[in-house]
Amino acid sequence: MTERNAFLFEVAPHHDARVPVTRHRLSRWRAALYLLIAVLLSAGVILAPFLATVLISFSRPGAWAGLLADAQVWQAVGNTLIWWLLVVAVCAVGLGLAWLVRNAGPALGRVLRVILVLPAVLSPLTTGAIFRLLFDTSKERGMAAAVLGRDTAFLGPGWIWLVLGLAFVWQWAGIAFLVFHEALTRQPVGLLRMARAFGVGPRRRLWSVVLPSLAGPAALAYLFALVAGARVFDLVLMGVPGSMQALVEGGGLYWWRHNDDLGDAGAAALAVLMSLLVAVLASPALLGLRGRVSWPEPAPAPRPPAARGRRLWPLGGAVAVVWLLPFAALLLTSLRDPVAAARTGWWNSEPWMLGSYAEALSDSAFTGALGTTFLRAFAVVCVVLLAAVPAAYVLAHEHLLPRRAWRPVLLVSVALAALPPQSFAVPLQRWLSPIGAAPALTIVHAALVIPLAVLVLHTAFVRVPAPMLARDRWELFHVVREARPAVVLAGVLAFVLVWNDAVVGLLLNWPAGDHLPLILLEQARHFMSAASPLAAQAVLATAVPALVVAVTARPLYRGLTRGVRR
Amino acid sequence: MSISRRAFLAAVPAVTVAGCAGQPPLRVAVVWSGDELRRFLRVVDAYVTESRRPVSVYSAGDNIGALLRGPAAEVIPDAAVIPRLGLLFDPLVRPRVQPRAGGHEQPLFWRRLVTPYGSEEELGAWFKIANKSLVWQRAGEDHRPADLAAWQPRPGTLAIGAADGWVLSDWFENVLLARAPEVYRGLFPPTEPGSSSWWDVSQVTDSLTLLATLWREAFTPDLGRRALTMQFHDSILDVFSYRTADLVAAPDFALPVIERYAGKDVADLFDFPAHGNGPPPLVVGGDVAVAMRGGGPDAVRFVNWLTRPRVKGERDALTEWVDEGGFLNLYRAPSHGLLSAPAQRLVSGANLDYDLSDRLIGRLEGGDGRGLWRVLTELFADVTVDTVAPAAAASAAREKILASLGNGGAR
Repeated sequence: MTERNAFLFEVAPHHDARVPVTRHRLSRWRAALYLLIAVLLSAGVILAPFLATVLISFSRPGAWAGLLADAQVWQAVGNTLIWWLLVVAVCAVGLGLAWLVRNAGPALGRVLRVILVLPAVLSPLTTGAIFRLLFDTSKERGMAAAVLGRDTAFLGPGWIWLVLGLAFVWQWAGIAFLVFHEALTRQPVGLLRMARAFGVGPRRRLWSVVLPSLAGPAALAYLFALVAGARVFDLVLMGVPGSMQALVEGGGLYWWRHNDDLGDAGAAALAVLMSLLVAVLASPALLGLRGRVSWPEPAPAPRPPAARGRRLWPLGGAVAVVWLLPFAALLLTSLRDPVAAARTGWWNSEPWMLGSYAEALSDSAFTGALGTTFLRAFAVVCVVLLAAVPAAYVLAHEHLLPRRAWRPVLLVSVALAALPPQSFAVPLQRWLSPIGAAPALTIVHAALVIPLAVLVLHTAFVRVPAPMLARDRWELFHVVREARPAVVLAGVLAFVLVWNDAVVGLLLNWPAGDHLPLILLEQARHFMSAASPLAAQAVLATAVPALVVAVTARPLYRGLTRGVRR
Repeated sequence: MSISRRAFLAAVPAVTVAGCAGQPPLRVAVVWSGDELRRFLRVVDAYVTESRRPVSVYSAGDNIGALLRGPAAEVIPDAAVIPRLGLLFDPLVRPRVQPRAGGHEQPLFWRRLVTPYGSEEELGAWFKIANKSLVWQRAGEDHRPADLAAWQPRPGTLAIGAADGWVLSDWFENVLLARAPEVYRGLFPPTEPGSSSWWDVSQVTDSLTLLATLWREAFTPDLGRRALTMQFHDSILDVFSYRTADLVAAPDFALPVIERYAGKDVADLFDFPAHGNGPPPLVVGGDVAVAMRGGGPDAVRFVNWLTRPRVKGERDALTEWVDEGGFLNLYRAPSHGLLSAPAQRLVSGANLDYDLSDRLIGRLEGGDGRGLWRVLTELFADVTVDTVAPAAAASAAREKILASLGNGGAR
C-alpha cells in the first residue's frame, strides 16, 4: 500500500498552498466549450428525458392514484426495500471483513483485495447463473442441496432471498471492503491515543473518533451498493426461476414487465416513484458526506506483531476460498459434457472436455456479439473520455467551481449516476430512434458513465500541479499525462459497465441479438439443461473484462488511490 | 492496455467483413435457443445455399414481443417465427406484418388462426405445430387415469415444471377445455370475435377448482416448493432420469429431451384425460412464420420456402428434425412411433383448440411474473405451499383474471 494514499472519491476541495500566480485563464467561452459535450450528454440524455417523464406522469389525471392503489406495485416497492436491506448487508460485510483483517499486514491485505473485488467485474447475469447453479434444488446438481444430502428448494419461496442476498453480497462486498480497508488504515491514531491518555472511555472514543472517521467512506460504500441495488435487474432475470421472479422483483423489473399495462402516465409515475425512493434512500449517504470526508494520512504503519498477522492467515484463507468457490463452480461446470452437466453437479467426476467452449465459439450469434459488444464498449470509452476529460480539466484547473459549489456538483453527479434508467428510457427511446439503434445505444451508455468519469478525473486533475509561471497551451495534455492512472480508471469503468450491461439494452428494446449479456440471458429459457454451454459462454464473457482489469491493474490501483502518476 | 488494443484490432476485420458481404443478410428473429436454435440454423443453411441470400438468425427469446412492438423501426427483423399467436393481432405489430402471398395452402383450421376476423388476408404460415395435450410416463408402466374428475395423483407421482408459466397455463387450458369446452371456444371462436365475458361464468371457477384440487393432491408443501423451482426440462428429468415422479404432462417436443437425457425407448405417452363423457381435450400450439413489411418480397419468399411441403422422399434438415421428434409440421408425419398418432390428429384439423394463453394480449398476456402465468403460479403456490383450500384459491384466481380484464385485458 502506498504511503500517501488518498482515496478515489475524496471530496474535500484541494488546498492550493503554493504561491499564488497570475495566469491567464481560458476565456469563458472556451471553458464552456470544454464542458459542452459532458453537459450536453448528461442533460440531453438523462435530465431532459427525466423531466419529460415527470411531465408525462401528470398528463393523465388519476395515473398516480391508480398506481398507488395497485397492490402489485406495492409488492414491487416493498421488494425494493428488501433489496435495500441487502445493500446495508453489503456494507456491513465489507466493514466486518475489513475490520477482521485490519492488522493482517500488506501481503494478506493485497490478496484479499484482489479476490474480494474480482466478482465486481462480473456481469450480474453471470452472478445470477452461478448462484442458481450452486443452489439448484436437486441434490444431484445443486452443491448446497448435495451438502445437505436432500433436495431443498433454495430457489423457492422464502429461501430465494437467502440465495439472492448471498449473490448480491458476494458480488459487491469487495468494493465496500476496499473502501473500509483503506479507511481503517487511516484511523486518526494520534487522536485515539490522546483520547485514551485523557481517560476517554472506549464507547466515547468509538462515537467521537472512530465512527466520524468512517462516515465518509461508509457513505461512499453505501452509495455504490445502493446504485447496484436500485438497478437490480439481470441478477433476478437469470438467477431466479420464472415462477419466483414476481416475488422478488423490485420496482425496476416490475416496470419493465408492466409498462404497457400501466399506460404511459402510469409507467412514468412508477419511474418517478422509483427515482424518489432511490433519492430518499440515498440521503443518509449525503449526511455522511457532509462531515469531514477527507482522510488523514495513514498512520506510519505500526507493524502488527508478526504472530498476530500470521494468526489471521487461516481466516483470510477461509474468506478467499469462500469467495473463489463460485468462480470454481462456474469454470468446472463449463468444462463438463453438456448432457452430464444437466443431470449432475460438477463434483461428479466426469471426463472433462472443452465441448461447450467449442460450441460457444462456433455459434456465430455469440462470437458476433463478442465483437459488437467489444466495439460498443470501446466506442463508449472514447466518447466518455472525450467528454469527461475536458470537463474535469475545466472544473479542476479553472477554479470554475468555488469551494461551496463543489458539493452540489457532487450531488448532481451522484444523482445522475443513481437515477434508475426506467425514469428516462421512454422519452429517450422516442427521441433517439431516428438516429439508429447502435449510435443511440452508445450515446446512452456514455451519458450514464460521464458523471462518474468526471468525478474520478476531477479528483486526480486537482492533484496535478499546474506550471508555476506561464500557462502552456498544451497544459491539458500535460495534465492528462500526469493523471494517466485516473484516465485509465475512468476508461476501464466505462468499459466494464458497458460490457456487462443488460438493463439499458433491454429497457430500450434495442436489438437483443447483438449485446453479449442478452445472448447469455437467452439460455435462461432452459437453465439447467443449458448449464454447461451457459457456463462456457459466461466464462468467455467474463474473460474479457477480467483481462482488461488484469492488464491495467497497476494504473487502476494507482488511479483508485491517488489518481496521478507519482 | 496492449491486450485490449490487440483485441480491438482483431475485432475490426470481423465486423467489416460482415458489413461488406454484398447483399445485406435477411434478418430473422426466433425465440429458440440451444438445440432447437441449432436445428433451425441447419434448416436455414439450405436456404442460403439455394438462394445465395445470406440470412442472419437471432434468438430474441421471450423479448420477441418487445422487439416487434418496439419504436426503433430499423431493428425490426425482416421475418420472424412467432410462438405467440396473439402477437400477430397486436395493434402495434399487425400493421408491420406483410400479408402472405403465394406459398402452399395450409389446412383451413390453421389458416383461420392467422386470418384476422372480417379479413381474407393471412398474416403468416405455420412452420411448427405442437400437440399440448399429452401425458408422458416411463415405458412399461401404466399410470393412466380413467377420467379427469377421478384423477387423484398421490403426492410425488406427478412432475410439473411450475417454474415455467407456460407449463401451468397448458395445464389450465387442458382442464378448462375438458371441463367446459363451450367457455374455451367462447373466448376465441373460430370465425367471429370472442367475448371476454366468458371469463365471468361459473365454469371457469369450477375448472380452476378442479385444477387446484388436482395439484393439491399431487403436491405436499415441500413438493410444491420444489416444483416451483423446476423448469420444463427438469420435470422431464424427474420422471425419466431421477425417477422421482411417474407422470409429466408435456407437449410432443418433450421427446427429444427425454431421449437426450434418458436414452431411447424409455418413454410412453397417452392423451390428456377427458372429463366425464366428453372427448379428451386437444390443445394445440405452434410457431407462425411471418414476413415483416420491412423485409419486402424477399421475406415473403423466405417464409414460403420455410413453410413449403416436402415432396415424398425428399430429405433435408427439416425432415430430419421431424423424424427425430420434437418437431411437428403440417406436411410430414414423424417416423417416431410414439408421435405418429398425436401428429396425425393435428393435421386432421378436427376438434382442435388453439392454446388460449398464446392468444391473449394486454394485461393477461403471459410472461414471467405477469398476466395469466402469474395468476396460475400464485394459484399453484397457494394450494400446494400455503395449503389454501382449492375452492378459495380458485375463486381468488378468477378474481385476479377479472381484475386484469377490468383494466383493459380484453383488448
